[in-house]
Amino acid sequence: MALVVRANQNGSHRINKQVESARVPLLRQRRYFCCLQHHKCEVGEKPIKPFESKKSGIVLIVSSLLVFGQAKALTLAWDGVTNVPVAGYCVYRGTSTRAYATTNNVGSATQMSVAGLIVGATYFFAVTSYNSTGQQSDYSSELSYTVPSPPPPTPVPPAPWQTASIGNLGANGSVAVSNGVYSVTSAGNISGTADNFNFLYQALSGDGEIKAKIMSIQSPGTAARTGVMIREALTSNSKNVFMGISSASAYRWQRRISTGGNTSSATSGIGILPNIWVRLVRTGNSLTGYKSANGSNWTQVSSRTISMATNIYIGLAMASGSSSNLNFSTFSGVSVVP
Amino acid sequence: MKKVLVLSLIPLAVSVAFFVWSRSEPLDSVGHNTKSSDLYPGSNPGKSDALRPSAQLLSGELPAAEYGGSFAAELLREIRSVAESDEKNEAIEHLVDSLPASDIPFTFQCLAESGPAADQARQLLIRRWAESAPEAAAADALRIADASSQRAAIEQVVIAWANIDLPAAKQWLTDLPPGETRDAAARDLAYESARIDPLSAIGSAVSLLASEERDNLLCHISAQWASIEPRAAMNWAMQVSDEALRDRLLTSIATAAAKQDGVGAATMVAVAISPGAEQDRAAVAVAQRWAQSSPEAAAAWIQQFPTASLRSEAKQSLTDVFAAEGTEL
Repeated sequence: MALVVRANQNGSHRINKQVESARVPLLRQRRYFCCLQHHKCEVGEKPIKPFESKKSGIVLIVSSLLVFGQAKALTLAWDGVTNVPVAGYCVYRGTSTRAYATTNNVGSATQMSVAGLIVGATYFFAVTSYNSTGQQSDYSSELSYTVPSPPPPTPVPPAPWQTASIGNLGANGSVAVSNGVYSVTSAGNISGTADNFNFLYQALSGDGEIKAKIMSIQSPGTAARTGVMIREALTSNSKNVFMGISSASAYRWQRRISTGGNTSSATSGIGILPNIWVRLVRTGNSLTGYKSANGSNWTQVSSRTISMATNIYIGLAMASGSSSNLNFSTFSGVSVVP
Repeated sequence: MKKVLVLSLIPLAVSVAFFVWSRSEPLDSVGHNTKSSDLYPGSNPGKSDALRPSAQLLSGELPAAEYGGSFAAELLREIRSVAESDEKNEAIEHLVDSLPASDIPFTFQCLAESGPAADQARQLLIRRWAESAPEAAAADALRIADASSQRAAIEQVVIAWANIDLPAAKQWLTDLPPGETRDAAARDLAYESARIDPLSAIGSAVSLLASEERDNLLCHISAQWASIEPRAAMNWAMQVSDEALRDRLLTSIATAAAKQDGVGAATMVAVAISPGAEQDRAAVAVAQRWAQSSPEAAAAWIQQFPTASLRSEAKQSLTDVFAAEGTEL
């Protein structure tokens, strides 16, 4: 029986991996069976003949995940067996595969809440069904679940930097600044008519510029972007210019010249990490992108006249090219004249 | 020689005449192509014989290959192509830009594809339509059944309309039913008007329901206002009862005013903003800007910052400014 892990209902966590385990032997030295009279499960010594007709049809899922501080609770659910009479179900739980230490007879219910889970621990679950005579089916295939650790608190970037999630981001990003090295992770896209990505930014009043050395970019997608950005607003469809690189280290100059308009993009050769410097300069309504291999000799990539408000935003932008993967990039030599 | 030249131009003239004739289908008073409007949901389906071939094409009834020469067919082909890339986005944009203006409403109404590329095409189409006929585009946007598609379309219309006729766009917005779509469109409108009329934009923004988006909008507008009337902006912000929002607003205002009036901005930070992370950000931002006109005064102010870490962050930020000014810290 396949166990399918679905998204939880509260939307706070998503499990993508489908778990398939090897078929369980029919006979075991020790196994649990259910004592219907007491509505609890006990340990029996004798092997139980599998309830053949119930070996299929049970699909076990994590239907919700509740978070109470560090404690975690999840709700398991499964589709009830309908092709034969079933009196109830037992849920098995352990911390090793196919070695279940805890059993719960849940009667005819097709879901059960499991509380008191330890953060970081991996649990294994299986379900059996039983009929009115106490005959129990074989285990369902196994569901494993590792209780996720809470994301580390995002350190507050040094003043005057701020972070913003532009648009609807999938995976959580992070920012850390230490000894002049900016380590930033972000999912999302910088393209089309609206963006979604993590933006580490400052306010920009009138003319100004930003330059940065891109030390690394780690992202599985070809649409990843890492670089510097000047943006009119913190909305997803804002006008912006971007000077950076893609995951293949190709220099990219991008711009959205009208709010809600499409993003245009152009490449400008390949850089060699970690010697990739990028720079954006705003002078009046003129926005110009530069590239450099050493941070001293700059080559203009492109320039565009874009009418933006006087007080806008300038900073580091990165996206992975997808809502689920993260782009991990590091910068150094970041300087802003706001 | 002249005769040869004239004769050689005849096929070209015929082609041009045919092209002009083929594009001269009438539009109704609101910019609809009168033939294409027959196909739109709610119109009379009995008039299908009047449809142009590309209507069937766009609604998916015919393969794109049959009309290989038209921009609409090219657009459909691009939308259906498997690749997802910037090049695809730009190809769609280029094709939308290439469509004759008279075909925009028709193409928007008949495009039946789904998916991100089609959504992008629809946004670009209705944006182009709204740039020439905002009322007609707005009316059509309201007829879209899918809520998220309708919201995206309405936002595009409002942005385009605001840049053509801001009062008319505002008036249209007031007639929309309350809800998230109207709020999103109102935010778009306020962002657009912030560039030219921040005071009016503030008036629109304060009527929105409280949200992070609204607060970001208020900070953005108050910064634009502060560039023109810093004292009026500050006086307004000081009346905001939500302390966290008030501090954010004052940070935006002080930052925006600092290039013109470093002392005034620094005073605002010290006196009006509550101690904490927001005040720290404001202090460093003001010092950065003040240093561009009075580096010594800004540096002296930084020495008075209460914590060593904040002084360090401020000095680090000023390094870039002083490097640009050729001044040593």
